[in-house]
Amino acid sequence: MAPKQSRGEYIETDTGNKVSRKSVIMGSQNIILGGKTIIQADCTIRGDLRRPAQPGSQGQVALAVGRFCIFARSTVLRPPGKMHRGVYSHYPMKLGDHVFIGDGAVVEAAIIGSYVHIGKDCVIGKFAIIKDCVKIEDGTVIAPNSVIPPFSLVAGRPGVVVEELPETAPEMLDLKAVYKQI
Amino acid sequence: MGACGKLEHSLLHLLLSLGLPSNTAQPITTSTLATHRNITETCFQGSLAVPMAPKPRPSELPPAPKPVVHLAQSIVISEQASLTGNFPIRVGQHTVIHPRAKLNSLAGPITIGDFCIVSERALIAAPDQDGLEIESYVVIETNAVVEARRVGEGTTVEVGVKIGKGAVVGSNCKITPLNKIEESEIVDDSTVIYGVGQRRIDISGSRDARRKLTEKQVEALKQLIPSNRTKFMS
Repeated sequence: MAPKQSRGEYIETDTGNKVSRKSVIMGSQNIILGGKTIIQADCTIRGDLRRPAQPGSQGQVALAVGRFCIFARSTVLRPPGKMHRGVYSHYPMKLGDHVFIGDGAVVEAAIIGSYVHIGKDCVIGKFAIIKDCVKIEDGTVIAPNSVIPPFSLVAGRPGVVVEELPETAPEMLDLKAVYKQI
Repeated sequence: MGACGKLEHSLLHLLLSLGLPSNTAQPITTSTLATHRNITETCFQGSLAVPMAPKPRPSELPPAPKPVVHLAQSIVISEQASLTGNFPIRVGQHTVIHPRAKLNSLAGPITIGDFCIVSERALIAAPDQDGLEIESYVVIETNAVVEARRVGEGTTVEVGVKIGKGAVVGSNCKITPLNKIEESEIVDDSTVIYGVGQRRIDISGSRDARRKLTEKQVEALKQLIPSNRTKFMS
């Protein structure tokens, strides 16, 4: 029998999200987690960087995350910002299901699809769009505003598609088993 | 034993004097020199059962030395930023210091100009007694480590860049993510460091446009980041 832990490292929510007590989450009211997402220690999530509330609209979302995502230690997620019609504003960041973000990676993407693996110490530039089933090697820098096509393996500084992934990629990138381990 | 008890008491007093709330929806960060312990209580949509955070354990090390700070009236500094050291820290008008940014003046004084942005987890440390000067319109992104002698006006230091001790970076430079500048290196004005250490001179003449962008960005961040300037004023 496993020893009973009075205070685990993670806070588990009703929908199965496991959020480390040592993570730094700002503006949590603007963050939606789909469920079964793991946020490890020292992660910084900037939910406070959202669009200024327009009159008549409410519940501005800064970050929407799907199911079975893992944010490893020391990752930083911050919604990107740009100038549009003379006003600088931040735009929401959307992540699909089964997104893995490796240690120390900094993500400022606009959209990340499902079954995406981002390696250690990667930097995903502002407003990058990453489609489904993409693997990004450790230490890759993805340029701002770039679009990564589906089923690609990306590496280098700046990151370029070096190879295509096989059709079985979603099975390789599935994070259900990893979620159960933690 | 007695000294230890005293220390614990003083730390407790420090915590109390910071006026830390014990039960809020926002994450709370208590930072001392040795420990950056974060007590996070989060409430996400669709989840209500949030257990209490563990009690903070007092640090066994003496509290970090508090520097003399000169913060301009119009700056935005998050209360989760950390300013440590013995030498003075000066921050100019309209500068934004994000939460969890670290300014360390243990070795020398730090001067930051107007309209600068220092992102979270960036570390700014003076190399030696001659200090570090960051001029106006400098943007320092997440995870960057700046130990330069001087960073020129309008320079952008991107994610994860390391600027070695005593380096001099000219004005209007751009250092793209994960690049490194060696110790005591001199980088000319308008240099772009891209890829893996490749360099070129920027002749696009977008200087003024970039400045305007930084100004607008500061304006937007003023609305978003709650500032607590008085916390750092001694």
